[in-house]
Amino acid sequence: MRRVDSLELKNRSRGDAPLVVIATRRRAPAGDDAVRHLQTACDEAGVELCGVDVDDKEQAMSDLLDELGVTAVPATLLFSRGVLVERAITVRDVTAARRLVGLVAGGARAR
Amino acid sequence: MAHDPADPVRSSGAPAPPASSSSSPSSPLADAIAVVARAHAPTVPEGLGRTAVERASDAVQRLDDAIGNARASIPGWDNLAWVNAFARAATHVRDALPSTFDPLERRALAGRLLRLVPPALLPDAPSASTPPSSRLPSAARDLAGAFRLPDAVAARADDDFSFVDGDAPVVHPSWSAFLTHGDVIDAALRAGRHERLLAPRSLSPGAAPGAKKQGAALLVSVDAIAGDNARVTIHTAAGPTQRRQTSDGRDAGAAELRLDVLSSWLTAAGAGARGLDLRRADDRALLLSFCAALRARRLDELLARSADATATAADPDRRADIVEATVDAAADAVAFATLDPHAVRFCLPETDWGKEAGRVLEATGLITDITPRRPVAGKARRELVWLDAVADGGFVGGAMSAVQQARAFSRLAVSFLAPLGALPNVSSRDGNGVVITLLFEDEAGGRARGPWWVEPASVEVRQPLSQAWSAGAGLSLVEPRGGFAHDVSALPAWLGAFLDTITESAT
Repeated sequence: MRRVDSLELKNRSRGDAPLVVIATRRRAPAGDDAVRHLQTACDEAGVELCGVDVDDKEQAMSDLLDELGVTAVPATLLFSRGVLVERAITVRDVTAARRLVGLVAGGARAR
Repeated sequence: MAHDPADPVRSSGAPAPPASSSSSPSSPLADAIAVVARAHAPTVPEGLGRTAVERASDAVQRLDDAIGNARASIPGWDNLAWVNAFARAATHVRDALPSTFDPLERRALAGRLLRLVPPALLPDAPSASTPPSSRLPSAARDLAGAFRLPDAVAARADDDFSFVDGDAPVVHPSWSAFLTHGDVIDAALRAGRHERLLAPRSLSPGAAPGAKKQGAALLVSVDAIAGDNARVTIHTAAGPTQRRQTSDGRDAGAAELRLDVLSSWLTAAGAGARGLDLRRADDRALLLSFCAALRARRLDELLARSADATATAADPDRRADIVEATVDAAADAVAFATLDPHAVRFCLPETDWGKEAGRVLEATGLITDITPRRPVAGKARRELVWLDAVADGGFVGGAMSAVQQARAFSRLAVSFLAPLGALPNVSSRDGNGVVITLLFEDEAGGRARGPWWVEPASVEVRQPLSQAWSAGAGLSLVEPRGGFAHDVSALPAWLGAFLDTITESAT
């Protein structure tokens, strides 16, 4: 998983390729589990997973997370062609992660 | 007093019974072997041999008993006792889950657990540590009628929610035919023919809504039209103004805008606009629930009759009232049948009983910890999500995020409401809701009502967009250029084709 800044997140979320973003906080065990499950599901589906830190000091990141409606951590955001397809707060296991990634993975397979 | 871990009833000081009738006289080693043998003896699970349906039915029965007991014995203010009751019931649910594959059965289990969640621990409730006598009425959603599929829809589960004769609502052509009148949009843009219209933020950046001026659009009304331009009044939280304002507050002249820009905002569908996919059981159940809501409100009878007969000269707005009520029926079909797991999470205070409640809930194995993105200073608390561990996702399962709820409503709106003139704009960046502007016609031509912000996950499902903006919702709308637009004149034909699809697929 690669950490991205607000500008890259803005650009990538509007691109043609589906994108999964997880907003986490350092030292949040639930976030660690979610990242692991999502990474597995994204690797299987060929979808890129990016990460952002909700405690990032950058004001632009804070504004972007406001715009995307992120109120809780961890939050998983799924984008397809610039549209926010899902914003999930829990990824309990790999099965749940696969179900989530499947919402946007169709675009990855079609390309 | 210490207890024997293999036999909690008997204290470790008491003599162990013999392992068998033929065992040798008691010795410390024999006792130890006997204890280990008992602990590891194969046992027959109590539920083995019964069907999954029977086990699920038992779980429901035990839950109903638990709810009945809790309601009879626990005072409303005793949050810890309610949490304990929830945890006991959750243990029954956890045991039933592995054999409960039917999404409706899981929904039933989750619905029963929901009745044991103390309202004071829901996220929108006032502080749980506030004495009950001084607690204000809760802003939390009334959960009594929530999370229920209409009975007539649930009864179709075994048939995979396939359509039968009579499912397709009858819509008289006159409810939609006015959209083919070439000047309906132009007429709605004229002065006095609309309540508010959306306009780009760039018209007057200093008037952008939101606490930090983060709004991406403005609300305007047209005062006069000269050629291709409209002179407009900008409606801000501070009041109406006819002057533009730069982002640093300087005057930038009279507020004027090209008519085609206003028209493109009015007909914008948004990049996220999709209609119902009736190949999916979830969307069929959604449509059936919407039809059930139309029947329950007698709107189906009105839509089956001529729109011209309902809107008399004395009451020209009645036609729009009926379509407005249809929008509400669609939003409620989603709002009552589904729940956002985030909206019914436990919010526990950082007190002794709050910590104890957290431990009790953790032991159920059904909860996940989340933290608020912006913790409130001095109000550290624990937030626990549970609903999605029991209920499945999707409309039939019932556990849907706010984004999924809004997308479900938008699919109904694109397929059914837009051809009636209720044009959805599905472009909010936060995905929580849909903007609806109602286009209709009276004897003088096209008119527009709204726009409204429809957010099924919210306590107030539909509200004027200006009111939503004041509350910080619906601010992040996307510019229409590049997105889909409603081809207004083609919508009546689309509705006919859509209703024919339902009729033809009826078994």
